[in-house]
Amino acid sequence: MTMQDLDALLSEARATETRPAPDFLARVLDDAYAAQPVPAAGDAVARPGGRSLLALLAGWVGGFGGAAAGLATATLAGIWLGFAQPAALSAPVASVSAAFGAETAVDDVVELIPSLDGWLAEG
Amino acid sequence: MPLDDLSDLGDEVLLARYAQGDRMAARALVLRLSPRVLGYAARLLGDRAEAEDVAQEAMMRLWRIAPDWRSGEAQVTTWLYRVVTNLVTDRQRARRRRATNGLDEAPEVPDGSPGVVARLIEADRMAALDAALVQLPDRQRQAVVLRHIEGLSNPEIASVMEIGVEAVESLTARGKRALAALLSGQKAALGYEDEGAEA
Repeated sequence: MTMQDLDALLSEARATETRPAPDFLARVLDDAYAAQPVPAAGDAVARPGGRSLLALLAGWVGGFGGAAAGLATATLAGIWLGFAQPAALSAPVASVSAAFGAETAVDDVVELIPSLDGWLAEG
Repeated sequence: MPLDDLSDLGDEVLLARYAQGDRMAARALVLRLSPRVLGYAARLLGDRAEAEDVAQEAMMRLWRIAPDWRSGEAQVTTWLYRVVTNLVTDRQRARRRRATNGLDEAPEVPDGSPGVVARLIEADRMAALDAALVQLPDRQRQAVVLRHIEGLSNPEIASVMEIGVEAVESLTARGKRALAALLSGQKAALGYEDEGAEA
């Protein structure tokens, strides 16, 4: 037998898949389960995915969701202050305006968000 | 998570999940590693039942070491090959001690007489190869099987057999020559054309 023949035979053996008997696999799996460490109580690692979908969603809501909620609150507050012109803000804003120029009227200062009418008329 | 989703995970990752109590990881490891371990043990021992015992024991050692497995130090498969090699070596030594006929160690290079090979060679090419393999000296057989059937690199074999790479190369070369000698004259039974007949 030449080395080429032997190499071919060995390659054939390499390509031949070993098929374990089902009862052998069952025995090995039984061993695996019997020897497997049991997760501690409250340990959430038992699921193969690591984190469950519920935990993932909870984390998303608690993290990104919380940040999104804060941003939305700030935005709404800004809009509210602009349009409602709370009386409580009128006095401090007027005093600041007065400090920069006595000629400025209070009515001009409290225009925190200019009306869109002017922009539309220009454009 | 379906078992298929675990197929992309490495052996070490699966072993870590196994150690954390993941039963799907246990199944995936059994299905992935058991055939290789069993196949290697069977090639070394030439006895399927005995190979199953060795493979089961090797896998048991993997389960036991899983919680203490140190990632990155060795591949899981290389570690398993080493365990199987040692288990087989122990069995073969015990087998020889039990032998009452006082046979010496197998010769470094077999004389090429077919013996049992001749009977099996007509039945099945793989059976013939296995029968020839078991006639090799233990270390040569381990090196040849790991290199040419299991497909390990020489450095990996060196790690499994706990020897140097040069020793692996020497064992593999001598093992192949001995194997060719054992199978010589059996070309027709193996399905190869007789070069002499063609001339």
